Amino acid sequence: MIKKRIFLIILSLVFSAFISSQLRIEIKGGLEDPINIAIVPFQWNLKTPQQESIQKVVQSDLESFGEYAVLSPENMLSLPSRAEEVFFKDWRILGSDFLVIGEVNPLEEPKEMLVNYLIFDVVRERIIHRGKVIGPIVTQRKMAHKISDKIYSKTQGIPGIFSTKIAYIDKPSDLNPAYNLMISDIDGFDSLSLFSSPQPLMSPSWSTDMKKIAYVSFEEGSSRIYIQELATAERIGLKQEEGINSSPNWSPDGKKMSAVLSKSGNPDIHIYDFKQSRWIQLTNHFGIDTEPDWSPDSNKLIFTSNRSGSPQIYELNVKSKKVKRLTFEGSYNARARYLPNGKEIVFVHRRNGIFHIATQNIKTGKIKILTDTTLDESPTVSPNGNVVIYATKDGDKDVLAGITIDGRTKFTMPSMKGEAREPSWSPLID
Amino acid sequence: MNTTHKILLTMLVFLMASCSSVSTDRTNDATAISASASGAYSDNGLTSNNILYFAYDRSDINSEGRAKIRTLAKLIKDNDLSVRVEGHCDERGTREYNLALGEQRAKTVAELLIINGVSSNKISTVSYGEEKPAVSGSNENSWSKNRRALVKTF
Amino acid sequence: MNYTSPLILSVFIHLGIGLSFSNFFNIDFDIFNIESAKPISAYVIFDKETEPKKEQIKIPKKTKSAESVKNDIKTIAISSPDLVIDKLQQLSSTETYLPKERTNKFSQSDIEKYSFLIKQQVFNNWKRPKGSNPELKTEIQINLVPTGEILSAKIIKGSGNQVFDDSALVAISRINNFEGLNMQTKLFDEHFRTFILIFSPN
Repeated sequence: MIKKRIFLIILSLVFSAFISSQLRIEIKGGLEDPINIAIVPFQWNLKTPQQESIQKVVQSDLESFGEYAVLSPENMLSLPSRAEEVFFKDWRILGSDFLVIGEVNPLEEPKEMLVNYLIFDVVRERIIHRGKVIGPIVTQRKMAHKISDKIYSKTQGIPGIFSTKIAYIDKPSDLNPAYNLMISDIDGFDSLSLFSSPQPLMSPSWSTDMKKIAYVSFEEGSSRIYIQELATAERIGLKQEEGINSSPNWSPDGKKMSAVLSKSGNPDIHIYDFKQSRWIQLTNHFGIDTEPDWSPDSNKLIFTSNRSGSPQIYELNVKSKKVKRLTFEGSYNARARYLPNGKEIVFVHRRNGIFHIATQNIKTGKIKILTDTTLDESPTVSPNGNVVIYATKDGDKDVLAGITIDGRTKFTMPSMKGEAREPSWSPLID
Repeated sequence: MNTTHKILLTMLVFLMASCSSVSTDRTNDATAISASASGAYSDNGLTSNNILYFAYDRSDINSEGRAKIRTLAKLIKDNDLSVRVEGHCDERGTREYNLALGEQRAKTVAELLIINGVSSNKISTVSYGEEKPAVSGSNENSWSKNRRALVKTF
Repeated sequence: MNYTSPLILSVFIHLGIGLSFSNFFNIDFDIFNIESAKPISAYVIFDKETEPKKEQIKIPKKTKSAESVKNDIKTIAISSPDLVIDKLQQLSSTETYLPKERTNKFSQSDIEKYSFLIKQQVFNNWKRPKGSNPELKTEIQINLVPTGEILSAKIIKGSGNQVFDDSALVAISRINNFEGLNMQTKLFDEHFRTFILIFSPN
């Protein structure tokens, strides 16, 4: 019995040893070429005339970060809207990796509509997703963004971000002599002012459930942190302390809010206790401690401090209060934000007097400069970790720009009226 | 700031007779705290005697500034005025860090006023960081005018 | 008493396995890494030529064929540093498990040459999904016929990310037929009839 068992063990080990000795060829990296995708204009089966082509919105979504090359409909050999009308050969000849078709049908017309769509893997000749989106006819853009999100996640393996929003501060201009707290789609459409004040507004930050925004307002003459409900526009001012009340930032678990108060004489990192409406002090240093941001697991905070003599990024363990310096390169590193992987940070890095957006791997300390314009600041990371939007200058104008985290694609935020600053990317919503 | 404050302030400016270049500043319409159309925040009603300038990324005050503060302290004490010190920065650097830097500037001025005999309960400070520039434009000329602390009396 | 000989054998085999594993964790894949070469022009040629003219293969989902299992047993770790082989020799007098004799028949450079050709073609047909976590890894076992045509491709170790796994399978489907693998039968049988492709983002 034992003999037999030992023999079997040996046999299996020998076998596994031989399997592992197969020739192994590792392919690292792969091509970073854009994905070739064909989106056939969706068949429109409604009596109501189509205002906006879903295909066009999806196309502009997918093209916005340079990750897709979208085939123009006039170059298509056929315009299928159902699976049985698809001939893979047609799409292979055109070099498409993926194909999207769909049709729009009435559902309680004139109010609602139903979009059925299919995503095909052209090379392997199979359907990889059957999707359905229902919504009021007036929300066509929104529905198209949902389809873009699905295409993105089915072809890139990470969530799409086309349904997310950006909050930002619109600064006073000739057109609008007030500070405005704005939100808009990431393509700049559907912008909306949430609050307007003749005194400065700063530092918008989304709650994790995307229902509220915290920000700083100077409407009472000095800074105070407010939380505003999006649906009701109801505002609550948090307990105001002497000195600076700034940099509100919700923890990803939605339970806490970090902020900066200088009531002790100099700016320190604090946490707001929502239950008891009071502030708990986290750092206590005579230098400036500011601009806190939560790690994805809500256990750590990174912040800017000049305790070493120049602004640098530090990491604070919320429980143990232990502080660790993260940046060592250069004399100005500030306003850091974690990437969703928690392993890298993006921040403002000054080199030769120029302010860039840079990323750094926390472990290796390796810095990578992403942007080469001047006065770049306020980086905010897309919830899928793939894009950074930041504030920069176009001449004397404050504008928002974006760059993919690999530094390959840069873009300016379109359709922003006025002057925008301090972008803040919303979480993902479903 | 209401009109009486403005009038008082204007009187104060006149009291400071040693200053000869105040006329242009005074002729400004001294009402609006709200931002002007260009987005620049005009330091309305203030003369160069009430404004202290700083070096880049610094909050210390040079000897010229110290002399200015001594004069101001005397005026504040003699007229039993209250003051509000506003700290400002240029646009370079991050906004929230600049808010802290602006506070340091305002506090430096407040401390010097106290050293020169002004009662601490007559002084309040506020920082606007880089949110209310006096002059717009991304050049050293504009920046040097925006790195400032304003001593507003009432 | 009867147990001792298998036990000793087991000890040797365990050591051998340990070493062979340590060997392959230490393999410097950069030898095969064509990144340094970055043959972008080659990509254009391969991509344009291979794609339209051939019928796409269907990748059977069935498990490993009996034939491939047989081959597994025949194949031997390549790129094993001599050091390991020496150690194995020192450890055991048993002549049954000694790769040296075999590897000497074709030079290491032959295996490297054809591995490189394969690697190049796979690389040039693989579009890595953008959001790939750098730690993802997909291992796909490939079965070839001597013409270079891909008989089957099977994921033996998925990355856990379906889109990433699919992108690797798409690359293999696109290739359909590896070009330039005209080699002696023995080399083909022993190393290239069945091999493993490992896909990982950098």
